[in-house]
This record gives sequence, C-alpha cells and structure tokens, in this order.
Amino acid sequence: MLTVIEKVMALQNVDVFSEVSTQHLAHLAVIAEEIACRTGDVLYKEADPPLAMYLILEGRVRLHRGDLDVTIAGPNDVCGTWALFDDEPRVVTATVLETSRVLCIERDNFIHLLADYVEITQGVLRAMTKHLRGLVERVQ
Amino acid sequence: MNRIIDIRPTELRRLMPLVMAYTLILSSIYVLKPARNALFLDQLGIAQLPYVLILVALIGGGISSLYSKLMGSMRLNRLIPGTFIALIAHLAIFRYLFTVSGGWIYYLFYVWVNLYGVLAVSLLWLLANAVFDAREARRLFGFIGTGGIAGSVVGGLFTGWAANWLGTENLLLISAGLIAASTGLVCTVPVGTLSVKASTEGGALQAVMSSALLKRIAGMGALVAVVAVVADIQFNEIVNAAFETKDEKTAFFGRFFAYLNGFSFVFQLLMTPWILKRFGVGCALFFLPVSMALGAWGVLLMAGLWGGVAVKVGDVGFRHSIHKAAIEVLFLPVPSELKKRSKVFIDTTVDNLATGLGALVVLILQAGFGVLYPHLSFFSLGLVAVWLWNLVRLRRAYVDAFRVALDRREIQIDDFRVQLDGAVIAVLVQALKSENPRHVAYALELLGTADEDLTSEIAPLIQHADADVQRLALLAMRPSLPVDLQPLVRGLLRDENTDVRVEALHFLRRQTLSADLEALRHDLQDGDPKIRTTALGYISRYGKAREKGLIDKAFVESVLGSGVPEERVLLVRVIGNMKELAPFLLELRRDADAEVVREVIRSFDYRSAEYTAWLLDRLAEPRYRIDARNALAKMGEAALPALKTAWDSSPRLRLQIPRVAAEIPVQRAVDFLLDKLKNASSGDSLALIQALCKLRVSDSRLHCDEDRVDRILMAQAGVYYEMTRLLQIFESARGKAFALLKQALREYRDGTLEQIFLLLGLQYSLGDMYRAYLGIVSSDKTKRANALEFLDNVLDRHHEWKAILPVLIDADAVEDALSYGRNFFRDDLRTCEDGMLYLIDGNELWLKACALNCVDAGDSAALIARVQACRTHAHPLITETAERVVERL
Repeated sequence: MLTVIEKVMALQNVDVFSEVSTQHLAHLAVIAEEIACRTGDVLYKEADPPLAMYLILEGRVRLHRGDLDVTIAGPNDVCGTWALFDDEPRVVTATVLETSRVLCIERDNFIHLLADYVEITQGVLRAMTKHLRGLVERVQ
Repeated sequence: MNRIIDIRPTELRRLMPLVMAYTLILSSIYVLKPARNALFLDQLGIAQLPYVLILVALIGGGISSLYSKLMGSMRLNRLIPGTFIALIAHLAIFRYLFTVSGGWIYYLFYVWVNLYGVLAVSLLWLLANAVFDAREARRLFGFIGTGGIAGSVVGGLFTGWAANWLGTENLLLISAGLIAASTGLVCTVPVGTLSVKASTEGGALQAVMSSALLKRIAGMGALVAVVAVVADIQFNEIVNAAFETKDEKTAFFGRFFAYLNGFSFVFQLLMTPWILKRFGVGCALFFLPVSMALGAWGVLLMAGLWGGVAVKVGDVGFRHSIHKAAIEVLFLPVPSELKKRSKVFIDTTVDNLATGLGALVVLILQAGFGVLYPHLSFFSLGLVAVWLWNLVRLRRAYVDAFRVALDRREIQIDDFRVQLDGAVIAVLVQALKSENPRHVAYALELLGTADEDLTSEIAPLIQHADADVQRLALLAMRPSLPVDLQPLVRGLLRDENTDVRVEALHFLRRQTLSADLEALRHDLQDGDPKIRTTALGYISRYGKAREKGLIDKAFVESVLGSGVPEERVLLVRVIGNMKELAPFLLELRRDADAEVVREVIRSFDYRSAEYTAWLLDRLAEPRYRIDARNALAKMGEAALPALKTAWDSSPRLRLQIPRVAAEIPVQRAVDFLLDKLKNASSGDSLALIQALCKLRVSDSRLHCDEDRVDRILMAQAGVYYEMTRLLQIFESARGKAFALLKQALREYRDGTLEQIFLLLGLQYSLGDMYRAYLGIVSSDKTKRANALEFLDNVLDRHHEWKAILPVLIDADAVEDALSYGRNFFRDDLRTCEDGMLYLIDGNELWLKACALNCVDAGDSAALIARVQACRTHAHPLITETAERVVERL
C-alpha cells in the first residue's frame, strides 16, 4: 500500500490539484483510498450519480458509452474529476481493461476536507482559473 | 567593500556604457563652463553677469519647455542620440560664429551652455531611470553619479592644462568630440520595451501639477537653485575681496574646485550607495540643505575666506553627488509617461527660472536695500527652513506615490445605489417578465421597497413556477388584492413549499387585519402537518408574544413526537429564546436530523459551561461548524475562557478557535491570540495571524503589543531565512524525493512570507502590506522592486532586522539575502546532511516526513539512526514514512 507521501507524489499529477500545496495534498492523500481492480471491474457506469474521482496508478481503464470508446486512460490519468464538483450524472462508463491500482477520492470526504482547509479550495480554484485563462488566451 | 560596490554581472551591459557616457558628458560640461565664463567676462565684463543669469531663466525656461513637449512624441533611444548630435552641430556653429560675430553671441553662448549642462545630464538620468528598476537604481545610481564627478574633475583639469596652448575657442571642438563619444555609448544601452512612444497629451506643467510628488520635487528644485545662486554670489564676492590679482583668484578657484570635487568623488564612491541602501532616500535628501544651512551660518560667523569656503562646500560637495542620486530615486514611482513629460521640465525650466529669480532677488536686496553679502545668509536660512519642511512632506508624497503604483493592479468596483424613480421602476417591472427566476426575484426585492402600489404588476407572479418568486411576490404585494385573486392566494396555503404557505398566511392575515388567535391555535392542532407547519412558520417569522403564547409544553411534546423534522426546525425557531422551554431545546440538541441540530445552535440563547462545551464539540463537525462558530461568537467575551481551554486540550480544534476569536472584537481576544501565537506551529500560526488581522480591521482601537509582534516577526523572518538557506543547500540534490522536499520547502517559505506581511499588517496599514505582498510575489520584476522600495520606506528602522527585511525577502538577490541574514539568524547549516537532520529533528511534521523520505542507504549513520527513531513517533505520518524508508534501506 502507498504511504501518504507516495500518494502525494501521485496526486501532484492531477491537474485540478496542481495549485494545492504538498502539505495540503497530504490531507487529500489521507482520504484517498488505494483500490486494486481486476479486469472487467466497472468503476462507474454511465448515468450513475457522481460519487468519486479515480486516479490510475497502474493498469488501464476504458472510458466508453455503450460500445463506443471515448478514450483509454493509463497511469497518472484521472477519471471522473468533475464528480468532485457537480451533481450531474456520469456521461461515460469506466471499465478496467487489465489488473490495475487506482486512488479513489470520494466526493463526500472531499467536500468535508474543503470545509476544513480553505487552502485546498483556493488551490483548486486557482488551478481552474489558470485552466480557464489558458482557454481564453487560446481563443484570443 | 563588497557591500559598497554591489554590481551584478547582468547589470554590467546596461551600467558601464551609462557610467562612461555620463563621465564624458560631465567632462564636456567642465570644458565648456570655464570657456563660457572666460569668454563672457573677457568680452562683456562682470557687471553683466546678473543680467545674463536672468536671461538664462527667460530663454532657457522657454526652450526647455518646448523641448519637453518634443520629448513626449519621440522614442527614448532616438531622442537622446538625436539631441546629442544636434548639440555637436551647435558647438561647431558657435565655433564659427566666434570668428565673425560680436557681443550678442557671448550672451547666447552663456545661455546655451547653461541649457546644455542641464539638458544633457537630465537626458542621461532619464535613460538610467528607464533601464533600471527601483532596487537596481538604489544600488547603481551612485556609481553613475561617481562617473559624472570623475568626469567633472578630469574635464576641469584638462581645461586648465589645455586652454593656454589650444585656445579657449578651440575647447568647443574638444567638447563636441566628448559628446560624440558619449552618443556612441548611449546607443549601446539596451533600452528594450521602455522606449515605447509616449502620448503627447497634456503639457509638462500639467504633468507636474497632476502629481503631489512631482510638485514637491519641483518645489525643492526651485529652492535648491535659489539658495545655490545666493551661495554662489556670496562665494564670488568673498573670493574677489580676498585676492587682489586675477591669477591668484584663478589659482584659488582651481585648487578649491579640485579638492572639493575630489571630496565629492570619494563621498559619491564610498558613501552615496551605502547611505541610499542603508538609510534610504529620506536621509540622503537631508545632506544638501543641512550643509547649505551650515555654510550660510559660516558666512555669518566666520570672517574672510573661510566663510566663503563654508558656503560653497555644500553646493559643490553634495548637490551633484548624493542629492542628485536621491532625486533620481524619487522619480521611480512616477509613471513612466508622466516622468518623461515632467523630468526635463523640472531639471531645466524650473531650475532656470529659479536661478533667474534668485539672481533678481539678490540684485534687489543688494542694489535696492543695500544688504551686505554676509546678511544674504538670513535669506538663505529662511529658504532652507522651507526646504526642510518640504522634505518631510516630500517623503510622505514619495511613499504615497509607491502606494498608488502598487494600487494600479487593483480593479476598482464602484458601489451604486438604486434609486426607485419612475424610469427604474419601469425597468424593474419589465424584468418581472424575465425567464430567469433570479432576475425576477431580484426585481421583486427592489420593488418591495418602492412607494408605489404595484400589486397589479406583481400579482400574476404568485403563480410563478419558482417558489422563491412566489414568496417574494406575496411579500411585495399590498393587501389591496383584487377580489378575483384572493382564492388563488388561499390556494397557496396548500402549496408544497412551506415558505410560500407561510407568506400566503401572512398576506391573508394582513389583508383581513386579523389577529384571530383561535384560528392559529386551530391550525397548530390540525391533523395535517402542512397546516401545522404553516402556522408554526408564521409564528416563528411574524409572531408576537400573544401568538408565541400558543406554544406550550403540551404542544412542544406533540411536535417532538410527530416525526416531521421540518416541524421540529420551526419549533426550535419559535422557542429558541423562551427560557421556560429550554429543557426541550437541550433534548433537541440530540435530534437525529442535522437541520434540527443546526437550528438549535442558531436559535438557542442559553449560556452555560455545558452548552459552551457542546458548541465547541460541534466546531469539529463540518456540517455544524459555521453555526457553532457564530453561536460562540455571539457569546462574546464569555466564550474566551472555553476557547483557551479548548486550544490546549483539543488540537483538532486549533484551526477553528482563531476563527471564533476573530468574531469577538475585544482586547482579551487579541491578547489570547497573541499569546498562542508565541509557540504555534506553522499551520496554527497562519490561522492565528489571520484572526488578529480580522480583529484589527473590525476595530482599530484593538491594540497588538508592538514588542510581542516584533518578537514573532523576528522568529518568522528567521524561518524565512532558514527555508531560503535550506533550498540553497538542497539545490543540487536530485530525485523524486528531493523534488518533493524542495517543493515543500518553497511552499513553507512562501507561507512564511505571507505570515510576515500579515504580521506587518498588525503594525502598519493592512491594505498597504497586502498590496506590497502582492507586489513581492508578482512575476513582474518591476512590481517586485517597487514593492521592496515601498517597504524600505515604510518600515521603521528602530529594529535592525526590520531594516534588512526588504533585503531578506528580495527574490532577485538570494545571495545578498543569505549574506545579510547570516548576521541575524542561525548559520550552522552547511551540507545536505545538516539540512536533513535539522528538518527531521524539527517539529514541522510535513517537512520532517519529506526529509525522512529522502534518506537512502548511502546516507550517514546519524540519518539512519534518526529514521529508526522515527518508527516509534507519535504521528502516523512519520511512523509510516519511517517504516517505508527502513523497508527501502
């Protein structure tokens, strides 16, 4: 199992957490659960309520709508980030393609953590603003 | 010496050409000035001198004003070489005219040389201002000035040596050659984007008048010029009286200026940069007025030549060295366009006009009133007094100008008030038709405050799909509802939304002016929970004592047994401050429904130790936190003892306790927070400092003990230094573990910087410190430099460490920061191992864990032993990391 420090190193790869300090990523690491998955396991289905975000540590996960592949996610890729922020149902299904390990952050735990650490909220907002600014600059 | 001569390699390319160009320009001036004087006196005589000084003011002022306008429309890197080339051409023409023309050309040449001296110097300083930021300027302007003094010494010596065998007129060609070389050097200075074309809007005078700082600078420039003219005339008269022959006078002038320029050179080289860097511009500006005042007293008190020496020392010794460099620093916070339009105007027009005015006043005083030359000192001393007063105001204007420069990054949002006149009401009525329910709700809220009866426009909205709109429509309507709409409102008593039902009941009771208690009692006992909650909601929101009297023990017990959470919430709202029903509220604290518990926290106004402890426990639960915080804050000072106890006994509450204390604006809350700050960890200290800042903003009478804040600031500055030092130590360390450690150190250092500025906000203006902080962390080098310069001028210098704070946090000069910090903070960290041991032995858990994670098999026995010891640490983060490292080893 990963230590908190090792989880922090993994979480540094998540875009939306890129502006959160490592010290506060450690709090996120504490609520991030390491899960071992077998081939064929379904992390979530299309139209499911959004309950968690997944960071792939090892292995591959197929994101698809029915038979239509959307993408194949590999190590350091994230599935279902928006589940942490909105109530809209899942738009794709996430199926494990090979034996994998993922870090799972549950939405409720994440929201409680935001209430405790305003610095995490600020970091997430900074990352999102940066992302938006980048998009605006590209459009301009 | 290293601290005095502080030039960085990246600055050399900009600095050296400027220093050399300035040296050459000053050499040319000191070649031209003796030539000008000699030619004028030889051709026109000494009696004409005051008149030509007045002519300098009249013609020079007009020409420089025109030149200021021309500057506004030209690029800096074209303007300066272009001007210099024109000046070379002028010299060639003058040289020719001397051979063919009479007296008028010497008048013209005198005025031209005066104008040239001021203009060329001013242009070079303008260029220096454009290529160096505030921090660089403070270190480097002294060197540029030194070059100028060296140039004036060399120019004067050369003139004395060459005049006899070259001929005075031919010195003009030598001067032209010096300007040509200077032009070549100026062209090599990289001006970059600062050479953008400026707009020509507004004149130089308008530019000066638009800025408090520029007005003060201009005022001081005028005072300097007048006092200098008086001193010059006194000096000439004394020397004239002291020596009989022309040769003796020339010899004295030569020696005097050589020694004084030598002194000025040494002072400029060794003292000016140090004084500017160490004491700031405020101190540097006092040298000239104080020395000139002493000189004026010297003339009054000392007879003969020594009085003459005294009166000229200040002018020659300091005016073009430390005073000039300080004036250039004063221009730094002035916006570049404003600076461009005003600087030459101040240096030339103001200087010329003031010189002419000084000459005129001396003529009037001596010829009109028979004032003797020593007594002119009284006039000088009066002006110096005004000058010193102006300096105090000038320093304030300088700091304000920096404040404005920092402010410019802020967006100003204007407040506005909605006046509900006919036009506004028409717009709001139109907005009621919007498809966006939030727009409709906002318009309804505003219309609710209008005097007009708008019931007919609002009434249709009681059938709106959005419950909030329905509720607001009922609130905004007058009771004079058309009869056909009354059944509609009655129908709303069965609406699904409780707020709508309550507003409908309120509306109907208003309409019938009913105070019928029996109807309410009946509703409260109705079998339908909807009717019960409507009546309860009405009482909780609009009920007076009579209506609240309907709520008795029997009713409360029936609600507690009803199983409808909403009913219990409304019940709590009604009985919150009814002491006789308090035992029920204590029971409702344990309700299974979170909303009921939240309502108990919000409504309950019962103070006891047990209740306070219960509230503190709720602080730990995110779902109740905000309400618990507000409830504790509502208790005011009475909550403080419990908060103190909880701080020591419940570490999990430490983030929350300062937030509660921040809502209790009393001195004891401030003292409590300061007390806990003394030994707080980094995570806790931020919350404590933020709470202190909030208290200070909420009530400026609250006092933070200066000495305690100073001690904490000192400690934080030490932490900042240590983090900077550790980052330097680990700079070359590679690998993922060290990357994480370095990242953590950077974050920790940046967090400490934020805390330093928040602490400074307790002693100075919080807004100023926040803006300075934004400047310091900006990616823009100029903003960083401006912020540091602002700090330098704002922080008092009673504490030496506070004076070096701007150096310590200068991200552009880390070596300097470490070198300065060494004198104040621990300096025993040398190697990677020192750093890791320091962090592992420290109390900062996250840094400790990151440092532990860096240990590998090749490390020293001391480090391995630390890892083994950490396996039994109290905190799981440390034990887990240590175990993992042991596995790896």
